[in-house]
Amino acid sequence: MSDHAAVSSLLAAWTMDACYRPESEAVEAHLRTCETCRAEVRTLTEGTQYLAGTGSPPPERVRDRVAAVVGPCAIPPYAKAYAASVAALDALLKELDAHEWTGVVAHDPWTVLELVVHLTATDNLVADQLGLHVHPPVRPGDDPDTRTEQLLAMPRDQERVWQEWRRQADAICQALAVRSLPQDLMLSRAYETWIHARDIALVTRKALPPPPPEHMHAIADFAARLLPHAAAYRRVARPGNVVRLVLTGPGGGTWTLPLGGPDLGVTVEMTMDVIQFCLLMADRREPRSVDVMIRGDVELGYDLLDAGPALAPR
Amino acid sequence: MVDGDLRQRLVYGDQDALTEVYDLHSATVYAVALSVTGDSSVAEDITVDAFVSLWNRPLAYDPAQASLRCWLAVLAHRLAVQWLRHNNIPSQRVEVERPVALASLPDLTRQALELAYYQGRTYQQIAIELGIPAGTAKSRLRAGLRELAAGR
Repeated sequence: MSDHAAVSSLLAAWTMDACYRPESEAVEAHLRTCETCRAEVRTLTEGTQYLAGTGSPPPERVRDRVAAVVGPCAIPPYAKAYAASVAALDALLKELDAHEWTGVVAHDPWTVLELVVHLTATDNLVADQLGLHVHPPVRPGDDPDTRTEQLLAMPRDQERVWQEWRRQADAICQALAVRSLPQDLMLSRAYETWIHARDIALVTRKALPPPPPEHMHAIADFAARLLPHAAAYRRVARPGNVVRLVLTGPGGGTWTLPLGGPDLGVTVEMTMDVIQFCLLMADRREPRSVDVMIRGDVELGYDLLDAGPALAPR
Repeated sequence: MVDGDLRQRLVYGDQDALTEVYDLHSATVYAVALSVTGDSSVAEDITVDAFVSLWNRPLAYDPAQASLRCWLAVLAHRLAVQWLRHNNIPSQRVEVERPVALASLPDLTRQALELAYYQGRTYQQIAIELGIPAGTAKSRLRAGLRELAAGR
């Protein structure tokens, strides 16, 4: 039943689950593409809240049961952003159908599935450092690219790839409760996991909210501290210059970043949105398309923008 | 917007966000489950399931389509109606007072909503029970929800 009129007469019944399964499925399919009906459903759903009523809250044991599902997780503060990015990517993957896993991500010629393999591969190196079992074993000199190549060459199915990625991420979080790793390593994992979750959201046209301010700030801090290194790599830093980076929006902040050499004080100030900055440093934004305000040494500012993406991994 | 913020935190695995959502909306969820199933123990199970569902699939909630309270209430309602359809109605049924808003609706509309929302009937069953055409049953349900939404 794809008749718009037939479906729209069913919407109220559907909102209250007052129709049979085949009709529900037809409504759900229709709602994916019909904004008129979605608007109607918004109104009807609002109506149902007046039927919900209010009563006394449930007994305290219900709250305990809900809390128990979440489970404890004693992650050190520097790894919380990573755990958060993992949760977000997992939440996103749950919303994908089989076909969407084959979508090709814009930034790399990888499918969603291959991207998850890539994240697993890069996380393998972290797991290995934590003494966790990794299969196949990590070879000396393995880096994210070689490891990814190796895993992509192996046969894989979507369900197992997803489970393996998530299982390893959880194992890493658990291991970090007792063993420590350099803070920046876990921040770079948080950053990359979020960026790739965003890549997947874009290609599958799902709305993924950005990280909450606390995690956004941790990622932005890492990205900000990368900037002098990117500048040095591209040889655009002039000794003695210091950039003041002002990132606006939730999770933003101000960073004073020496670009090497004797400190001559702040010579350039750059103001932009915190998310846009993180996307730029991850090579997800064209340097000249970012909305930025530069004061002071404008030429240096643009050089820094251009250099930003230099250290971004795939 | 509070619902958007809560959802954002849930997506990023913030356990405190789940308990905050619970504290905000568990009374509503439980009330729906209880008024439909008439069984407090089942209503407790449904309440747990609704919040666990949100925790497991936070991106299934679209803030543009409904408030979090509404969404949870609809989810609880579906679970409750499904239970009702697969179980015998207990003889010791807890009767829950109907919300005031329902009383202000025209009789025919209220009757249809009572059967659909609280008794888990399909519109086809309502049509048969009330001796009206299926189309009339559907449109009474629609009129009822629209009137409630308009705040009458």
